[in-house]
Amino acid sequence: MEQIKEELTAQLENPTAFTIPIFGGIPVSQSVLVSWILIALLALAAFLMTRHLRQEKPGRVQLVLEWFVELINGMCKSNIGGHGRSFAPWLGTVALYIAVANMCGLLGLTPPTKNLNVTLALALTSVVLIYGAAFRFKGFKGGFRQFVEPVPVLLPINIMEIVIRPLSLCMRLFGNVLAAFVVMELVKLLVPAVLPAILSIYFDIFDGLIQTVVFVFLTALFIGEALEEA
Amino acid sequence: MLDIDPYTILWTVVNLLVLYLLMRKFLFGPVNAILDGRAKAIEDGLTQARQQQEEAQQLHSQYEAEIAQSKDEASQIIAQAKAQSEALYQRTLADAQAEAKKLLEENQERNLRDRENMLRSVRQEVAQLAVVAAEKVAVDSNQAIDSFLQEAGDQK
Repeated sequence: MEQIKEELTAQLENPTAFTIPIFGGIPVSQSVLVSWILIALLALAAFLMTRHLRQEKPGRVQLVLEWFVELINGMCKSNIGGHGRSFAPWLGTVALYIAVANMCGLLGLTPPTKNLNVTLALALTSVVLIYGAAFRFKGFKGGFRQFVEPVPVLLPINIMEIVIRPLSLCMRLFGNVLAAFVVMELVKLLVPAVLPAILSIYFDIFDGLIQTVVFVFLTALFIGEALEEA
Repeated sequence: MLDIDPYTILWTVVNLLVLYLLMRKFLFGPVNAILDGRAKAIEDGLTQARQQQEEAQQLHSQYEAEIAQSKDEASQIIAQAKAQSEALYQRTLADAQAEAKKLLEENQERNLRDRENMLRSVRQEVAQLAVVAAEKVAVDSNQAIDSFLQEAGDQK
């Protein structure tokens, strides 16, 4: 039991992969390294798959790409409205990143989203997007007015939400991935074969995709709320 | 496990921005361009089809009007021709009738003249014959008288 506990604690650490020896050393954590690999893979895949796009008679790969882009566009349009298209590429990028980050456990990599700092960074960018949207599309005054809507009494709650929203986004993603990771590690320690493979379908693929959808959907929902015409 | 590491946060934000730029360049940009292009092509096709339909409708009504007009014109021409031919017929008939009447009158006149001429010549002939006959009778009666007288004288 002690041994399991020790191993689990070791697995939950976020070790530094290496340190860039400039400016007194910039540490690069394992999560960031894995992210780089995933980004490289995503970019390569996107580059290879979009080389021969055709307007008429699209191929199978193109149909999948079109399906994905239209899914993101539609999601943004229905939740954000007229300005949805401006946010679609970013939210699509975030969706791709979270999805591959959650599922890269299948490839034997440690999911970057298991690191609280990664999910925190994701949540921070979302919050910048959510509160920046009103400033961008409703002007400086409109940007501040979002804190006194729908009624000025809600001002304190609206201000608290600036912290609560990213915290909940961050913790939800982190908690789910961490829990899945812990459960998977425990199962792997107890039953090394077959069962982890079956469970990983649920924890890595299903839960990973669900959390991706939840994160992106909530971000879009909050942006739509901020841009809503009062 | 729950320690905050500013470097990882910063790196992740940078990673996301880099991934965003890459995805926009290689995924969302091209695919959206294709989707927009297709939507535009379809819309253009629809607009064009609608326009062509309108044009066809317009041409159709134009042709119909033209056909109606031509029909009107045709019936007008036919009526005119009928009237013309009727007039011509009437005139020709009248002419022919007049001609026939004239011919008939001329014939009658000639016939009358001929008859008169004939009558006159017959009368002359009869008169001549009468004269001849009278002469003959006169001669014969003279002879008869002579012969009578001679006979009577002989008997005495």
